[in-house]
Amino acid sequence: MVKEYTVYMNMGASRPTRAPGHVQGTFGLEGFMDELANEIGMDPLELRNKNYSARNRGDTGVPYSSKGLDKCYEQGAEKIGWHRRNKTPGEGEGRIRRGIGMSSQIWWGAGVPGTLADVKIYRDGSVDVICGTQDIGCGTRTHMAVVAADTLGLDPEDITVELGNSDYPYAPSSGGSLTTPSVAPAVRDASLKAAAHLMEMAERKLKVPASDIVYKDKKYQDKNNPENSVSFKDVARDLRRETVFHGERKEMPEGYAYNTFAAHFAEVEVDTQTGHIKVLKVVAAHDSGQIINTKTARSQVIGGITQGVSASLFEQRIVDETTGTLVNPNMRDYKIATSMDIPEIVPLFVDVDDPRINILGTKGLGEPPRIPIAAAIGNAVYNAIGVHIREIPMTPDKVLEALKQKEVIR
Amino acid sequence: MKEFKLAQPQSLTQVTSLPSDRKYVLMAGGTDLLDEIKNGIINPDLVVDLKPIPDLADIKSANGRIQIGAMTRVSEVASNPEIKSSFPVLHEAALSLATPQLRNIGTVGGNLCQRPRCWYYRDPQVNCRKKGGSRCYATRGRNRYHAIFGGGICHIVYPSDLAPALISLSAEVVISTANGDKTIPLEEFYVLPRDNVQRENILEVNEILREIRIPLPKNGTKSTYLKFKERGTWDFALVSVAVNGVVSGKTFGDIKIVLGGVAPIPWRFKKAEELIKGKSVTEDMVMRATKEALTEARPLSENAYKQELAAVAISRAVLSLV
Repeated sequence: MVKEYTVYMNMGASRPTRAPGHVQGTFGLEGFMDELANEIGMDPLELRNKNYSARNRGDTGVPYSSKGLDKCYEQGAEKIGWHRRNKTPGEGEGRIRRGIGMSSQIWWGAGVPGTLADVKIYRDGSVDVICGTQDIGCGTRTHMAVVAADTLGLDPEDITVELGNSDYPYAPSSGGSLTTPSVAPAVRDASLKAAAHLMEMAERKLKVPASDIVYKDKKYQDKNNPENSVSFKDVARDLRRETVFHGERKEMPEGYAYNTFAAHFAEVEVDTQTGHIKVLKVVAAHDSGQIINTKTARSQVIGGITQGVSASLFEQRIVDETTGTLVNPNMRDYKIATSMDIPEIVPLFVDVDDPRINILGTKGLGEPPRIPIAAAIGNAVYNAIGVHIREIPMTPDKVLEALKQKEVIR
Repeated sequence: MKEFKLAQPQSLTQVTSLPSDRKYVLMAGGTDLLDEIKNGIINPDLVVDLKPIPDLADIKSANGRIQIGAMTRVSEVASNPEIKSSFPVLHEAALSLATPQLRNIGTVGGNLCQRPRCWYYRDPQVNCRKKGGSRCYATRGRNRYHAIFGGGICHIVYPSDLAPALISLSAEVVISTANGDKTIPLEEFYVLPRDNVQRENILEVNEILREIRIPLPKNGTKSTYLKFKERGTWDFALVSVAVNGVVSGKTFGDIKIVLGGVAPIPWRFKKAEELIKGKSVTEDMVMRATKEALTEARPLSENAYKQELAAVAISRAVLSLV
């Protein structure tokens, strides 16, 4: 049994960042899984696959609306070359040891029902998409434009995104990976209504039923008479005024657990004489449902891993126990990873269809890339040197100390 | 931050003749000095900018030696071809230091005269012994980056990368004073806390480090600088080592080993030199010698790992030269 405790400490205030509690708990739980696997002589991935469950075995017992973690395991393992790992932790030779480790992750990220968005179409054919959310790095401006453009058959640059104003339609605050799965379905809903309305207007203009109209290249066209066509702009001109279409992110069916999943695979090199860890490569396989925009999704994953590598190897609040003051409150002594410390990062998005979660089948991706990475690096170090460091950051002094303890145990 | 006046003297004489009761500091690159002022660690009335003084930023080859002006930027040392070929240890140390941006601004003189990075010293709330207080907070406090040699009453480490390299090369420094220049070995430039806890070097008021002189190497001389740091870049040494010696076959006829990041001054490690000099070098032998020499270390509660790093650093650096 792995238990996570919250303890009161006589220290300065702290603030949560990107999956508070989950990062720490996952480091403990997923590290323990590898210790267990080693104890019973089983491949850590096999241990996880054997205990795989499509139901939430925790408190509810209900099935997950979708769970692509098995695909994450499979595709991530293949991409990192899982077979290359040490079959027994620390079995390699020499002063530089290599290891491969992995960790799974579960998080929320279904989004919030009741989120609203508007699509506003003007008589000149220009389009606004409006939502009272903001973009704190979620790629919100991009996904709002992409979803509206995709639904209306326009290009993202044709869309003007309006956000960051509480007078705009309701959206929850950004946290818990809920922005995209809250806002994007609402934008989709509003855009679908707008598209349907424009199609009705095109029917009247072309004098043929919608079933005979093909919309392509920003043009409505009679499929039986291509000459009979009208552009998006000309249809919009027939609007009496600028017209607003309201969209909402709807409820999810009850009886399901809605979660995001991921598996991170890390390859590391450990200098057993200096205790220095170099992360060589990270493969991050994510189930975040339908990916709205691959470029921003990849950026989100790369950012999460960068933050996680930094926390795994360097970042710590160092407090003087006598005075209670933080001794490293600056960017020189509170060390953050530099570009020289960041490995090759390979984001993978597994193909998962989730028709229940929302009309786009999309899940969040804010916290997930940050959650499993420290555990994956810890397990890779374990695989390299044969001793599991149960604490982050894994600084050289701790690695050397752990190696000494290992010698004592032998 | 307290307001200060800025002086831009045109000659060294103007600097050495500043009224000695004036509370002033000398600014070379200023990369660290300005931080110290902004953080309230020092509160000078006058900052003396050395940049306008001519002829302080040259690298010259003369009289069987290389002369480096104190205001020469670290990046110029790193890219100088003669330094690279004659003094690999200095070239490598210059490249290992900080970041390209800081190397473009930071100067050699500033690097040699910089103040310590001890987090107690750098905390404006803490009045430690170095700032005239009565105790060293690192002794029983947080000390993973502190000294394992030469501490005693104050456990700072001297942060310079260039100093160990230059000492291993037997460099001398020229100091301008009100009574003319004096030249001393760089090794004698630094002072231990037990000699004067409030400063790190011998410079008196109205004295200024003007130039560094390095004798050209004898035939068969080899050198290298090895630095262990936590991050890939922009990090001070956990432990670093400069090794310079005359090698024939597998044996050092002469060797200098200077450690960085382990003591309040660049730490000339004579005991290790004695154990290695004149003997055929093998990995086993160097490891044994350095470990024996390291019994002199006096680690604190959180920095014993530096002994292991020092042994490995010396061993790897020495072996890389034979």
